[in-house]
Amino acid sequence: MTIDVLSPGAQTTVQDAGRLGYFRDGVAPAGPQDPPAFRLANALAGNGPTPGLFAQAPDRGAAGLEMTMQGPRLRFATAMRIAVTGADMQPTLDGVPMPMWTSVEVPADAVLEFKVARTGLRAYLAVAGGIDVPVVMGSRATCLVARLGGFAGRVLRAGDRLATGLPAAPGGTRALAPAFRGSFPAEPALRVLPGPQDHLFTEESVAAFFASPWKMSPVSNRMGFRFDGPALSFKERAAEVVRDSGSDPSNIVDDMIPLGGIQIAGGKQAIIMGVEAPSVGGYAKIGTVISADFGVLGQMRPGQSARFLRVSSNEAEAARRSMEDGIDRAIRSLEAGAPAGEETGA
Amino acid sequence: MIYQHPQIRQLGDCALAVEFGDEADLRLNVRALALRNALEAHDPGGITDLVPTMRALGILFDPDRIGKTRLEGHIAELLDEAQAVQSIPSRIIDMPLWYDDPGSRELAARDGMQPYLEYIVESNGLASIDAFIARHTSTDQWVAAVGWAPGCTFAYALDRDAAMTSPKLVTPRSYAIPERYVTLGGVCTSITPVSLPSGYRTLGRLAIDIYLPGTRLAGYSATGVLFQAGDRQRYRAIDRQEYEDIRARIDDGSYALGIEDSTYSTQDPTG
Repeated sequence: MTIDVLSPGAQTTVQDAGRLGYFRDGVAPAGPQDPPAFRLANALAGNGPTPGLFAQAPDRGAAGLEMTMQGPRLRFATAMRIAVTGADMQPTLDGVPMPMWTSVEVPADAVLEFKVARTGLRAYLAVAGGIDVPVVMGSRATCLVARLGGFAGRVLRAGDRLATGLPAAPGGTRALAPAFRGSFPAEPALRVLPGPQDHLFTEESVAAFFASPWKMSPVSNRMGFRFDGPALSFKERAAEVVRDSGSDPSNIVDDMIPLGGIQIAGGKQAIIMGVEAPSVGGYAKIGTVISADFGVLGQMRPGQSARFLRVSSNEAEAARRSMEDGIDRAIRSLEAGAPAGEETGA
Repeated sequence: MIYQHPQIRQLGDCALAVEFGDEADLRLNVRALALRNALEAHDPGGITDLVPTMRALGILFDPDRIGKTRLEGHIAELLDEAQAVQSIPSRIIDMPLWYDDPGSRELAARDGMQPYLEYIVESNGLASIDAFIARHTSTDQWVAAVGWAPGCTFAYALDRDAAMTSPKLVTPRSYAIPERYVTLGGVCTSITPVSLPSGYRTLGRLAIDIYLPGTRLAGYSATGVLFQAGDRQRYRAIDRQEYEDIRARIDDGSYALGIEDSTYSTQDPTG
């Protein structure tokens, strides 16, 4: 069972839930930049449970494709069940519009084609049985920076042939109700837990950070999302910190940067760490985008604005549980299920 | 500052950091490494990664397995022991370096600069490149942290009197320099594990690989990363012939890295 890549799209990679435990070596987890959309695509395709990015689960779920901005053109050499979620790249199957957030039985030799995303930025293709690439350090996720995992550690190219695994369960096509599908707000509110270095900024600057709109720069990718906003300033630093970290007021002695961490390099630009981010860095971090909002961040388009909403540790944890509950309910709705066609409306 | 009481910092809802201070002091690094070792020995479950840096320990966790409150309580129980540690395991790794190789001179020319090692010799008030090499090889470089890119090391002279500095480039390079270039940025000796757009001045080219994905050679981690925080790099000067000889022996599998298992004691800080 194979899929041929006729044209690769702008940046298409094989991803599973991501690779945990190697951040200590500087290897980021990778995995989908919009985890809920990816997990729901797998559920629709009939694959088993897909863990979240930080879940300590040895099985990292079935691998699928993450497509960015402009999706690929693919030929399915054999019939299989698939599902597409995330950004709307207007998929067509042999020229006929194909519903998203819905499981679809694709006949042999069918060609699936995507256009440029008209809402959101990243779409996910899941296939029953998953994309069969070697497991590297516990995961099939592509880490482009480390050049490992996925399909030869790189983006897909025309002429690549992807093998797929054996489907876990027989078919049954289902559609997700609109309430369970991802949405793409015009100006997202990204929830932020302050720290680890919010205490290094002036109080006025912390206030300005949360009060101002921030515009996403085109220089954004899975390593980091750059946002332009107000200039922020820092409190005076101790002499030994200046000596050890550098002359720029935003410099700190390097420490770990979490995924979602917001570096304020030079006080001028906010860089939010993506799923392939560097593990350590030497710029002050004002806060961390909470894990429940990684998906919203991953669907933002260059030029779009966001606001940062301060939350407490308890609110962040409640938001994470609420997201997990939403995914559970969505998957249960498929099992209970309305067959495809009743609630498509994609 | 070295904090009297380590600070727990919030890093979102799935990570935190235990911060021992805010400066680059080796005693802080030893505490971070000791806490890592203690958490590995007394694993409460739910910790997915431990990332030591110069002055803190980053801890990634699965909130469905361990709540933040319970994790913080577990850390508190181990902190006194970690704070008191005076000796930790530390490998010494032989670093054959071709100082001032022609490639470094080409990079400086491409950057529109004087050859980097000549610049560093002048800015540190040294007499010659040989004097630089003598000083750079006179002390081990302590690997305080691994990261940024896969296997990249942040290393500092154990003997602070032998430390030399080199300002980071005002504008980082827009192009990638090849793998295995040893660089100096501030007082930190670093190495490009893969081809990367580093913003540091190059000292020369290392004969051994610090990142070899898929390797089964002794000394490397499962990821193919050679170094872990708490290792020591012992640089020695080689010439073109020895560099090429080592590269050939690495290619045919006959080269064994020089790795000595040892311990590091804060009682004897330069040793």
